[in-house]
Amino acid sequence: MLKHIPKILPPDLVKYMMEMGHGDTLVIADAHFPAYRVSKRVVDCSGVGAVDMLKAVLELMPLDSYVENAAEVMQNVSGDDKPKIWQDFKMTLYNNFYEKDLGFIDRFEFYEEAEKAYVVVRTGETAPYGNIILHKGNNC
Amino acid sequence: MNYKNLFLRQSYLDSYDTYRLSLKEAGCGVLWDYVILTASNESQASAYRQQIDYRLDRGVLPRSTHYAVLPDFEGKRVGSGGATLGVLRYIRQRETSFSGLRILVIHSGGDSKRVPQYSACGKLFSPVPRELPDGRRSTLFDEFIIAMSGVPARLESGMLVLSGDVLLLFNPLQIDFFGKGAAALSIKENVMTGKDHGVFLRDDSGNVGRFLHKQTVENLTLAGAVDHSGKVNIDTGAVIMSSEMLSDLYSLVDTDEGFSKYVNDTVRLSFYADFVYPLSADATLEDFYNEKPEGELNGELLAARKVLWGILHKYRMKLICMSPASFLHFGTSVELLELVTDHIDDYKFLDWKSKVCSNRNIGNFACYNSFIDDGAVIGENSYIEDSDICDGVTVGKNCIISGSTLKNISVPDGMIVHTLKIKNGKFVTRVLGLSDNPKENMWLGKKLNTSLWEAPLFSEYDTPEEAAEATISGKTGEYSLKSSFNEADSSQIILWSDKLHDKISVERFLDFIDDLCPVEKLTAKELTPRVVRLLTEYAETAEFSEKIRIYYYLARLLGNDELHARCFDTICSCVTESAMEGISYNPHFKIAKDSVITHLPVRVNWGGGWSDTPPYCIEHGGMVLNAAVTLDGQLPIVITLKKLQENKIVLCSTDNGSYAEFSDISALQNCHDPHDAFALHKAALIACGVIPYKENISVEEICKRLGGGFSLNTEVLNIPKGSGLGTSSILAGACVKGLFEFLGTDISENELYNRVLCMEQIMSTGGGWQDQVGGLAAGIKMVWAAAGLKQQVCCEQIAITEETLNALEERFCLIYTGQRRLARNLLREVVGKYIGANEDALDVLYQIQRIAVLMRFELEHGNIDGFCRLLNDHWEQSKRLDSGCTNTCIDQIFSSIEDLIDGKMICGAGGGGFLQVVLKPDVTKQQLRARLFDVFADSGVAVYDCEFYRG
Repeated sequence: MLKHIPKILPPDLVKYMMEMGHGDTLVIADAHFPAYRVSKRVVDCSGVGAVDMLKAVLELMPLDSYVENAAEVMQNVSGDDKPKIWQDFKMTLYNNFYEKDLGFIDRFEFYEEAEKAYVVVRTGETAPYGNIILHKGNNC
Repeated sequence: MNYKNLFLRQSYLDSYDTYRLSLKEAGCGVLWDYVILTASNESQASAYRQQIDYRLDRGVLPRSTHYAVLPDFEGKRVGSGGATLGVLRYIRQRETSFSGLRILVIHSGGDSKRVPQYSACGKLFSPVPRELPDGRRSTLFDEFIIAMSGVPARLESGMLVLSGDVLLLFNPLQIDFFGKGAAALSIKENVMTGKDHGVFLRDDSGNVGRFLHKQTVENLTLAGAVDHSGKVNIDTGAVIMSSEMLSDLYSLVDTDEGFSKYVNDTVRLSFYADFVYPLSADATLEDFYNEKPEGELNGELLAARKVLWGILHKYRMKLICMSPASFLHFGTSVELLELVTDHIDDYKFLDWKSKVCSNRNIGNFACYNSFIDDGAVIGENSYIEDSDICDGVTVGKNCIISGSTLKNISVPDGMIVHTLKIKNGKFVTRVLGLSDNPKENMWLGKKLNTSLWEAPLFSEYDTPEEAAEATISGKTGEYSLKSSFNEADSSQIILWSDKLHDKISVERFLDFIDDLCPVEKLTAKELTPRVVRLLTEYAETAEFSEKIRIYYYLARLLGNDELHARCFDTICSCVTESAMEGISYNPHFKIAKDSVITHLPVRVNWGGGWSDTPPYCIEHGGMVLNAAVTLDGQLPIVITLKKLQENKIVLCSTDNGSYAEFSDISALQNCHDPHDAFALHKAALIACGVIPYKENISVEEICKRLGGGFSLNTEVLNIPKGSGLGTSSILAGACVKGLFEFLGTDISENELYNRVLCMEQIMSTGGGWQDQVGGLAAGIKMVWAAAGLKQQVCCEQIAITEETLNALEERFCLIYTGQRRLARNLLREVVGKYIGANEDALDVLYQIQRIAVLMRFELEHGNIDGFCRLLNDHWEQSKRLDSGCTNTCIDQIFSSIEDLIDGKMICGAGGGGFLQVVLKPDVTKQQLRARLFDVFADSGVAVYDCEFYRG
């Protein structure tokens, strides 16, 4: 345990976040996400919700201000209601001074992006579409 | 407050309660199924959607309601009637019928030409001068949502249509509509007011018989619209339509052909002229044909009216009279300015005020969500909204500044300044005179070739301050009011407003701290996560006093333990850092004596205790009066230092039987845990420079340099723990004193105190300096230190005569309560009260120092009775500061001996340990003992013999 480091962040995740460079991505994935299939570097945080994880990650990690969308979610199937968790993602980002809208990526493209991500954090989130990709910035 | 206002205020509060309930997840009560806004074009619709999403994201709109914003069909001006048909079609695309649906429609499609600062956000989202109970600044839309939240329960089904620039103040309980036709919401007003508005004439069945629009008083009276008290039923523009009527209306547009026929800019149906008019009982088709249209009176419109007559005239419109009720029209810039300045007191009953969410609360001007630097001058009756006004700016009288950043500029009297961010990322400031009408051809006294609304007058700039400065200075360009509105980037409106609000909230919070506003009087409603983040970031580089208060206030208001810890960590580290200044390991020390034994007395505190504790003493200085005493003829604090042949350091404590030999330096340096049996010994070695604080030098090497190893033993004779006599600090003092003697080094009194302070900070005990000085210096002393991070403690024995001292000694007693002081986080509690500007705490900390000085005066004048009175006063003050300093047992001890004593106080922080009393002149200590034994037998309550230690 360290001062000012959110308690839910495991040591390896803090290490990976420190190793990440500008433009590297981190995926916060829900409980149903095929994290171990798409990524070789998975941090398992099954006891934590995706929004809490987002809050904790944003305590430490700046977002990229040079890309159009530094925070992207998986596009929902057309006709489905707008997932409620997006509202919580959006507010969490806003509270961390990220004021843009969420970006949207189709499901299979999202998996491809997750493959390229530096790390995938698999949470215990069960709310539909509880996945988000974050692009690391350089304004620490 | 008159009855009408009282009723309206209560009605508003009731509506707010209903609104709050409607926000609950499960959706309490009956809610609107649909809330639909109409907009004049897609750009305005997009701005409205952003405003609604913003509120949904924050949970301030009921989530089970469906919200939609419908722009005029294909960007054409289809009229309020056409827009209403568009609403019906939208709903029927989602629903099979209107039956059972409760729909709220707010017509909000205007360009707001007469208040052009609201064109981009829409008049519906213009400010209302009220801070909502949840801390948000209000807008017309929020007021609508709150005021209308009680209406759905009063309808079985149907659609309530409102005009977006008229705010109704009423009580929904007065609405009762379960009919088949329509209902008009009307309010009673004096006929003099009625002559400027639409008035309803009621027929015998209680329905609307006729509409009388802007008629003279005489005509209104002749028509029978004026009642016996001279009042008329005013048309508020609010109409309820039943689901049956909605179905009939929808039949006009249930096909694409039908929709094209009735919803277009040629027919341009008006909601009021074309839908509401045919509902009056006495209306005729002929009159209907002549009713003033929203657009032009043409063949298509007349044909449409014929059809509408057939559909609507069979229905009647019930007249619902709401009274007391009121309405407010948001019309022109002049009306707006008058409302927020001159007339604001008329709306005090609704908690409207001239200054909403601003850092400047004085001055004869109005403001709303604006940051105004202290050095900015704002003229009388001006209104600043959503703006950032920097030092050096002068705003004239009767100005409206909206959405602007002003730097180094003077704004002339009567000017409206409004800045917009446009879609290319640049900024356009639009200026006009307060009395300029954008529909006319005049601008700031100049004649224009076209209307002000369309005249190219303003240019774009990279920053808002540049735009404002250049435009106010007279530079012109290619943008008109209209084109800049069309180009506005509406997504930036909320972001800018929020950024300003963050800045204002931070400033207001810091002002509260500076003004010593007690934390208990504040609420957390402005502390959004963004504001908290900004404040904690600011605190990192703030100076000591501000920094600890930011952490403390935030911790208290948010219930955040981490910030609480950060506050006290900051105090501890600042004091430690300062105390450690100039203290370092001295490799040249040599042991000068084979052994040293130091005995010290304990202290009794008389006046000013707690004023010596950081951060109070750092910020204000502290002053205490105390006395050194022996117990049972003994000096109870003893430390023994002995030189050893082996190169090792031995620490022991006779009291708890602890003994340890140290050969590892890191074990000796680890002294921050106050529960460590040797924390005090280790801190003494560091504070005296015998061992290094952090440097890695072996114990063997240290001992070699000293000329041998040594042992340090501490002992407290016959005093129970938690006595309140300052034993642990005096023990620290004894260690420092003894160590310097052991090393053959002279040390000044002040240096001695400083080293002990340093020890206490190293041990993280965080107390003040009075205890150690109380034991280190003999006699009765005044001890003080001036304000400053580095406390320079001064001590002076008071000039008491031997005769007075002996007389006081004769009467002075210490009583042990039989209880060890309760373990509680007293220091944080009391210090927290001080940091949090608790009014009692601030007063007590001041008063007790005065008492200390007065005690000295009385003692130096031989007035023991006067001293006793002050001691009693102090006891009362101590209880104000910390109610836990006494308890039932202490109260009972004092109460059982009340007739034997003249003065009473606790020792130290109280809550157990020792009590001190001054007996009445003719009472003996034996009598005191007998009385206490009578009551408390051998439960541990005991009188100790004590004498003042004269040195």
